[in-house]
Amino acid sequence: MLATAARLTASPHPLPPLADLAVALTAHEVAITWPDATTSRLALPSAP
Amino acid sequence: MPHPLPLPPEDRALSPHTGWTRAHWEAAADRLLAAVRPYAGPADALINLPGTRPSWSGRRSDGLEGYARTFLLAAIRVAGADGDDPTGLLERYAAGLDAGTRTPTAERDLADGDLTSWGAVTDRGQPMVEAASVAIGLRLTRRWLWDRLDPAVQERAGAWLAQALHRQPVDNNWWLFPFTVGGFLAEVGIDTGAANAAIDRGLERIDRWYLGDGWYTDGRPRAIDHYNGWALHLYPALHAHLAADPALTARYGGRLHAYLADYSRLFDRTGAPVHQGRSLSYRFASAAPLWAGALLGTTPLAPGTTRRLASGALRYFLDRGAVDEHGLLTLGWHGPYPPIVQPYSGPASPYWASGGFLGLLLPPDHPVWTDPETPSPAETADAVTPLPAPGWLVQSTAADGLVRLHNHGSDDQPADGPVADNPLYSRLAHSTRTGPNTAAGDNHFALLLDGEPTERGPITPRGAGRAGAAAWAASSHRPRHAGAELPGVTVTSLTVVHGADEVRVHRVHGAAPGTAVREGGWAVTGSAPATAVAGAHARVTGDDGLHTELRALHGWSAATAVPAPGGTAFGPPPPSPTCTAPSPGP
Repeated sequence: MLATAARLTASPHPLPPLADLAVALTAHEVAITWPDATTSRLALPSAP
Repeated sequence: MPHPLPLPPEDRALSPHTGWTRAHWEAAADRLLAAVRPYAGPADALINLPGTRPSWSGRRSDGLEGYARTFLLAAIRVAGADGDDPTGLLERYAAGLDAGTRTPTAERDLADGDLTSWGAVTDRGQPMVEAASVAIGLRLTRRWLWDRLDPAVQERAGAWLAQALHRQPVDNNWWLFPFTVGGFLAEVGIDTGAANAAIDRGLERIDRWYLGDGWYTDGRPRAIDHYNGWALHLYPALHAHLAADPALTARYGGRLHAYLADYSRLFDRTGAPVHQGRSLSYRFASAAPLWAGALLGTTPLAPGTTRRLASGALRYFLDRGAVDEHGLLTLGWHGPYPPIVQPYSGPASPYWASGGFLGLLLPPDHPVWTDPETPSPAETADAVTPLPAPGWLVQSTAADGLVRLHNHGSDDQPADGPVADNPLYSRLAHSTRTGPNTAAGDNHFALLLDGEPTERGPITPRGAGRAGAAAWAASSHRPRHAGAELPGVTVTSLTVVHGADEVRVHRVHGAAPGTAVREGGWAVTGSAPATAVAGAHARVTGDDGLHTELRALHGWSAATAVPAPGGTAFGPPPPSPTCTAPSPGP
């Protein structure tokens, strides 16, 4: 399993550092803590 | 950047976002038409624009393209002015129609000295495409042009057009060219049986390609691109409007309504449409479906938003070099850019953009022209929009007005076997401010075999949806190397977005343990980019403050910024952030 964080922006305002983004991966799920501290939890698609 | 088309002063009261009004559209149309005038051949039958190479169809076809695509613009301009034609546009195009259809020929070049004849319409031949533009032009201007032609010319021109009803199109949006010719010929009573059959065939064919929610694929299993707007929606909508057919308006207008709700999210605050798919030299043809929705009365957009988006697109390109010093549209995105030019494109191909002027058919007192401009979706609020039908995920941020399109569903791969990846389709993401760089492998996940990256090949969408304030889309593919699938290897990919940020997760099944992998981030452009690489984190800042970052979160061993020779359609070469790692294995 591999995970990256990416960002493309031209925002004139500073954004929270991408370094503050964190993920926790299991075989079936990804839990994301975004730089603004909100969280997302998703099931990973199974192999076809 | 100033452009060479003199235009009226801005009106920031009526158009606070673009400054442009109907007068700007009229002036732009007039200037574009005046600029091609010196390149008209004898009797105005062929318009032979200068270029470094002909299209694969030859110079005669290119000259017909010059006639047909600019005739479409002239027709919209004159019809939109209720027949007012002070420079005699229609007289010249009528003369060209007369001369061009006298002796249709199979001769591809102009070396035989025949400088007026149009090419015959053949199976899958380019003249079929151009016949559609001629037919729309004639339909729009019928009162002032067709109805005043000598019957012998009508008969000859009708016979030339009718060839399109009996020839085989390419199996994609081309079915709408006989459809469009049929719409005109049925109206004027020429070959009506075949004309009506062509209409039915065209609609039946695109119905097969309807994916739902307003989205089509363009013939191939998953070829989703700008042809949705400037062909698959445009032609049926225009026919429904011109035929005043309530049933067609309900059916195809309903689909267009759904499409525009999503499509309007694909325009940047700068006015740029998303840079994805083929025929990008058609540029502000991207405005055509916006106007078509207003024309048909089937749009979810406020009139002021329709104009803001359409004028934004026109101005975006005219301000950035789309027109050369002679006032001619070039083959490229901003200015000329050969890597995005298909072999079927010739010097006049960019005039497909004429469809973008469709709004001029709406009268000057229509709200699309009189209402103040209102903001586009991308500049209103941050938004993440999953689009399950195309397998896309749209992410826009209001602070910069930037739109990112995460791709888990469009590959342009033929049904009868994969071909090499086209980076304008195969990337994990596209945007309104970046273009792909083939060498850098931006926005591409690959296994590295003997140092060579695998291709994505056909994409299988695995869904798209919301997860709280975030949204996601997923897909799987079988990586390809040296023209063949890697036996037993599958990559499942998931993109999750929130605000300006994205997380990309890849699971590799079936690869040999230790197989190296690589993922690229966004490739920005810049003549003096600022690059910072620290551990697992690479950042590059290019022109206009556009900033790209890629950070390894799990499974990667290094991040770096790699050279991107050749640059992109947006500018000179930048480095591109990239992560590399040995694969964790099957």
